[in-house]
Amino acid sequence: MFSTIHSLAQTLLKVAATALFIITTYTVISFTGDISTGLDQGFSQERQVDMYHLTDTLVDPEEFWNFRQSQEQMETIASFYQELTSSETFTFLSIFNQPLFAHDFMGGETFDASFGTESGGQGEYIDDISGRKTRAVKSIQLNQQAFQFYGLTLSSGSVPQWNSITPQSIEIPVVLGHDYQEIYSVGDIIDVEYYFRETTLRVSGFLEEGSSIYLQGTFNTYLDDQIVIPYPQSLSLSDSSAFEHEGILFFAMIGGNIVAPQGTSEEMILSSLSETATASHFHDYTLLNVPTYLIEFTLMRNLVRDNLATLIALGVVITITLGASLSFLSRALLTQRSHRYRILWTSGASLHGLVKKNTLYLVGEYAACAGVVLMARLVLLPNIQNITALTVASLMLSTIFITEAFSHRVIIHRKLVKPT
Amino acid sequence: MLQLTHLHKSFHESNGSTRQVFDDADFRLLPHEKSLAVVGRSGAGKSTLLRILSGLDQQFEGLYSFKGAPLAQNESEMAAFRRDHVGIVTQRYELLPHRSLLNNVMLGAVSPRTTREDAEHYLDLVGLSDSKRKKVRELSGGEAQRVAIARALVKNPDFVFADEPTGALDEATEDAVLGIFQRLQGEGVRFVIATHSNKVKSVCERVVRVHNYKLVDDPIGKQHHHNQ
Ligand SMILES: Nc1ncnc2c1ncn2[C@@H]1O[C@H](COP(=O)(O)OP(=O)(O)OP(=O)(O)O)[C@@H](O)[C@H]1O
Ligand SMILES: [Mg+2]
Repeated sequence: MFSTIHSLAQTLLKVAATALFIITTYTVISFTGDISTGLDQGFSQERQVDMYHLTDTLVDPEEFWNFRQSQEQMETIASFYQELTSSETFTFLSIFNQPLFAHDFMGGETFDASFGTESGGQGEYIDDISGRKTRAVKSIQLNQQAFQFYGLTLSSGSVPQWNSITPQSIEIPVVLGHDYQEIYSVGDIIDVEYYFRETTLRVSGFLEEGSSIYLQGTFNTYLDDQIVIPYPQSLSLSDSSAFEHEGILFFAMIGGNIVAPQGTSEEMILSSLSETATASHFHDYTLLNVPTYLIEFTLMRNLVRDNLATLIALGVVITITLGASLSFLSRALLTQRSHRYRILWTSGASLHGLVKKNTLYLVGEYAACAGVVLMARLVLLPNIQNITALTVASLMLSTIFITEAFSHRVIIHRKLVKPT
Repeated sequence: MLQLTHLHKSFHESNGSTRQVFDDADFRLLPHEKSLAVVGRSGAGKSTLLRILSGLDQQFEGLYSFKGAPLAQNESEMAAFRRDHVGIVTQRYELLPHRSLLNNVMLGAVSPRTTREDAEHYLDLVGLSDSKRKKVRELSGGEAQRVAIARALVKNPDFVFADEPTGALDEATEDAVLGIFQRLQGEGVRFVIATHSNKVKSVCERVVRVHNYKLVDDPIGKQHHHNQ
């Protein structure tokens, strides 16, 4: 039988309200997860910071190549980096995510640089030059300041000796993400091509599970499947034969984020940077504004921290209001349908058949609701992929459905059989 | 024939006491009887009897049989009995006010054998074929009652159990409804009607009275009938 327009509108309203309810829950749980991860790490400790992105402006490949050929020019970068890391106005976090070409790699495809991306990548292949099995694997390179800023800690092994690493090191101690624990042990070596040079990585330790950093607009870039390579503490040039590796390394290292205590004006940072440039004779840089997502996130995080009680109260009120209107709508719909069911029962439809019919209506409603929730998640929150939140949301939806189906069953039996 | 013997029925009231309605009562609708009126003072148990006969109330003691075969006192068998044999007209009409007459009549057709043409036929029979697309809320009480009658008839039942079908109607409308009933009796439909109306009593072949928890043939009704 068809619903009346009246009850069609109510049905749509019910579906929309339920979907809203679930989406709200999903979002809240996702953000709560993000916040608690953030709070666990140094990044969001009491320290309040503003963040900027620093990058070089040598976009023309020829210009870039020429620059790298000149010892003089390269010296300016080395000194620029030196000035950056010794600034008193800000902290310079040097971070890059260039994949490594690992030979005879023991891990599977989940560590592949292309894993989870749409491009697919080439997987494991035989390297032309070395003749060895090779795979492009995920890697993060960062300096000591970044390592400390994000409060990265190890679950086993030891933090590399930062001062033992130089641009010329061909054996580098590295830290592996948590997922590597079953694959390598402390002391193992991995042969890789790192910035165009064959390098031996020696496993020094393993990161805590769920360690994350801010990288290129993504607040929680997890390091569980990453090889973390420590950058040298200072830059020094060897002879021109090493320029290919060192050129890339130097330029990679001056890219990163500048963090300054909150309240430091952008002018102060720019003037400090220009002093740095003058001292080092390197001027090909630009400062980009804080990624807006981060500002919003920081704002929200502060808001959440400062008003936690109020927010929880608000959440409870919203939940109760939504829950109450949902149960009201659901009751109104059932009352309407009950009238029809009573007539059908009087005409000879069995209670069993009517309960089945009603359950089918509910299946339709909740399937529509799940559809709306999934669409909303894809369209509105594509960046959030929180399995916990998704699980909780689906459990909630199923629970609401099951509770409603059973209570409706009871109500139909009582209401219809009771004489008028 | 329809037979219900040794009927015991009581209600447990909310204050904890028990309200006896029937005590070893017997009900029969004989094969040749086309109409039977059930009378009795208010609260005697007329509606209760009709609810039991149609299986809407299964909380009773007694032996209920149809054409000599016992009817099981369970939900699904009684629902099937209603679906296949019984049309019900209730004291309140129980129509969906926002739906059309046609839609409402179709609700009486639980089995898929019934078609829209059947619904139109019975709306025609109760004299409402011109307003079949109207909404029920636009109808008068008498018209609504006729829709409820059409709904009870649409499955082409053997019996119609009607609970005070003319209770809210004026005399002219009551005459019209009784005219419809008599016409249907000619087509083989048999009526059990709970009523307070002398006019309804007068057109029924037999009258039984709910009295002292029993069902007794009403001599006044008989007399009236024989006088006709
Ligand atoms: N669900 C119920 N619970 C308790 N008592 C009930 C219930 N239904 C009916 N009764 C009682 O059973 C008795 C018979 O009720 P019933 O409705 O059958 O009377 P009736 O003969 O149809 O009366 P009326 O002429 O007023 O329609 C009444 O005393 C009534 O109060
Ligand atoms: Mg009654």
